[in-house]
Amino acid sequence: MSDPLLAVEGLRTHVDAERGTIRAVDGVDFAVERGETVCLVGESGSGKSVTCESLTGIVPQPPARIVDGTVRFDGTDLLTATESRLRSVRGDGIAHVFQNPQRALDPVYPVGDQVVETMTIHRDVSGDAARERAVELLDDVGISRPRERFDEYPHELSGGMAQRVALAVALAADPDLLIADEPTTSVDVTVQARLLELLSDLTDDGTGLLWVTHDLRVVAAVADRVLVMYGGTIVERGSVESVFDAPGHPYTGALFDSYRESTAAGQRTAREDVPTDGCRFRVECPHAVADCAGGEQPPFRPVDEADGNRASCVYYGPGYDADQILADADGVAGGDDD
Amino acid sequence: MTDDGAADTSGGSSPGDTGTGATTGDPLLAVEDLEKHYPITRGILRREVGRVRAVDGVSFELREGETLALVGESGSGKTTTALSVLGMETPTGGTVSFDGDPVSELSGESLREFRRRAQLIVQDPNDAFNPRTTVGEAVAEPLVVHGMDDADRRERIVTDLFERVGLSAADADRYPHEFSGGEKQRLAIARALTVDPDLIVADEPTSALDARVRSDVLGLLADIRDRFGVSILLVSHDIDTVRRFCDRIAVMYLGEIVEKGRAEGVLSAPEHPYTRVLLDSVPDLTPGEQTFARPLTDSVPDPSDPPDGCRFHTRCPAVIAPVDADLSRETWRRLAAFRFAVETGDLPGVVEDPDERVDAERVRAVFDLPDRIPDEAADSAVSDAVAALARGEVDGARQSLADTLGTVCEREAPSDTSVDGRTVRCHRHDPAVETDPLE
Repeated sequence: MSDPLLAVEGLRTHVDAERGTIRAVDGVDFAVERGETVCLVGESGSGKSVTCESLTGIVPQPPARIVDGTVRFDGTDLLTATESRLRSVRGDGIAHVFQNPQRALDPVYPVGDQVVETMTIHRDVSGDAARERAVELLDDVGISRPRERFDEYPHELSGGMAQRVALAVALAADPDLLIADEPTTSVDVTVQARLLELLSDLTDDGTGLLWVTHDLRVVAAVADRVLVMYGGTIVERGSVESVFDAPGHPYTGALFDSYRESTAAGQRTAREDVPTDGCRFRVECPHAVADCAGGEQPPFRPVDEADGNRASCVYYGPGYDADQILADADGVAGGDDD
Repeated sequence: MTDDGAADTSGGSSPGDTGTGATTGDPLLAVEDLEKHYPITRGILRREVGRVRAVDGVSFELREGETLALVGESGSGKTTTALSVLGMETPTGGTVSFDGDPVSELSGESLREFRRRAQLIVQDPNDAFNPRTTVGEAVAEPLVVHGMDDADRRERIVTDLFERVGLSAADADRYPHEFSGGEKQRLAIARALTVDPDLIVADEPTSALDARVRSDVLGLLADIRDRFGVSILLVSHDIDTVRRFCDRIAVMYLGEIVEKGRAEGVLSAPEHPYTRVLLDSVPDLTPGEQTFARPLTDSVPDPSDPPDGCRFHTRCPAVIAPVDADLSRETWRRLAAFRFAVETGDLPGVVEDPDERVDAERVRAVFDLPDRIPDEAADSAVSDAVAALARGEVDGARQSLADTLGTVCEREAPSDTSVDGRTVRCHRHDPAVETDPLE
């Protein structure tokens, strides 16, 4: 078996904040294969965005510090790579799309020129050919009248159009891995539907897709595999079907519940109060026991079937009855509203 | 922020009063033909050259203890409608009546009373608090504005409200930055509740929050509604929120309500094609390949120049075919998609290049048009349009398609039709309109 496109091991990124250091990413392992879509799911503060931005070193350092781990992309360890090597990987190998498309666009250049620029930096193409290719790309991402729009500035575009342009810029260098951080969160649902279709098609030619989102509906639509994050750690992992069919970790169960019922106003743990050992979710977990504290996070164990989803929860270990958790965390697959 | 008119010198109504309340049967809030147009001006004389019809003839009612959702995409006018209800936008037409009295005619004491009884909760809780004021003072502020001078009594009310929204009384001395987004939104709810309102207008109150926190805040709002009979006008784009929380729903598109009725009915069996497009654009919670709704064109038209007839007709997958059309449903859908892409300028790159002669075959391929259409008039109109596009003449193409492929949906504005206790503004439901020849 060949190496995965991206392999992340033991990644730890700490962020120095006013009231001490936050372990934003605290020991994260995962891989993305070619042609695969992996969804990183979690709430704000779970570490999903910091994880993504650590991979290519675009996380602001300081206040962040990448303290441990390896990130192997296509044979290169990105964490020890030189800045010039990293620069060539960013764009050419790995491209980012963000929730706010304006973050990726330069306000003082026409949008078409920005597509052309990315293309000419990373590929052997220039002049009229680059312009033609840029028009084609804008067309591909669903920009109508791309020739006319070529000369418009980012602020002249609606949010949905700007996100399409940002996507065209990201795709201009034909990356092997696209990291999309909540790319549809601030657009209307009809625009989201088009973007979901576009991005799903992307993996057909072997591009890997790492997609960060808090929206389980988006996960259901795009993911091959799911990683659920809480407090800087992955708490559950598996194929999208297995996780949606039988969410195993109490946190994943709580996430699914919030789509179905109004919960009682519970106390949510502030980010700086999340434990830094054992299971990070234990403060909020209704099933927490003494074994949840201390040491590393609980090992990943199968929730249901041996080759299905795995949860980092002591209840799946010896001496515990996992049925206590599964009983109040039914999956939603097949039981949807429509 | 809650606009309570801080400049008011208040003789003060007692916040303990529950107000007269709506008598059963009469709505607490009645909005009739509400209109909010913004002038578009040009030049130093600010000559009016057009109008953005943000809200254009919207009517609905809200009863005591009821929750109505205004749903729609950006530019639909849902937020402008909500703010007009509170008088925070001045309507250019129509009436908003609160407890039987037109809000625009309120002044002095009765206006102050309205501002107490109708409260606003905004989307971003960070906008609702002054960073240099303790949250206790912020929550007590409406009491002060409305004339409660007794500090001990204010403190008792604030303490009670903090506990009711799941915070502790000790939190009152802390500052806004010490709270999470969800906690701040609960504080905003506490503040709205201090003056014992009868109506809460909530503009996307949970869209800045994570799923579990959103669920908490909705639970809190539902609890308050059920316990105190507060009516809630909720502006939301989130179908899960509406499904779980609202009694009725009004779906807005380009300043108009296109469908309104009981939430469960509308969400499970939408009647207006726009409602269907909206709902079918939301991904299913079941994993797997998903098919989303395909409107004829992607772009929402400019609200300053909304389409004639039914405003949704340029995007409507169910747009009605010409009376004499001899086409299959699928062929008509493709022709309509072609026609309105040309009409609205929502054109792909291939038909946009006037320098090169565009291959007519490629135009047909891009729009998935059949080589030959059995209906002769349609066939020649499409051939003419394709040829015109190939010459770079978009106007010519537009004209030849409009001449032959006209639809009742663009000629006449649909009126509200009652369907199973629901109001739908669509020609397909209007018995007075010629029926679809393809049905």
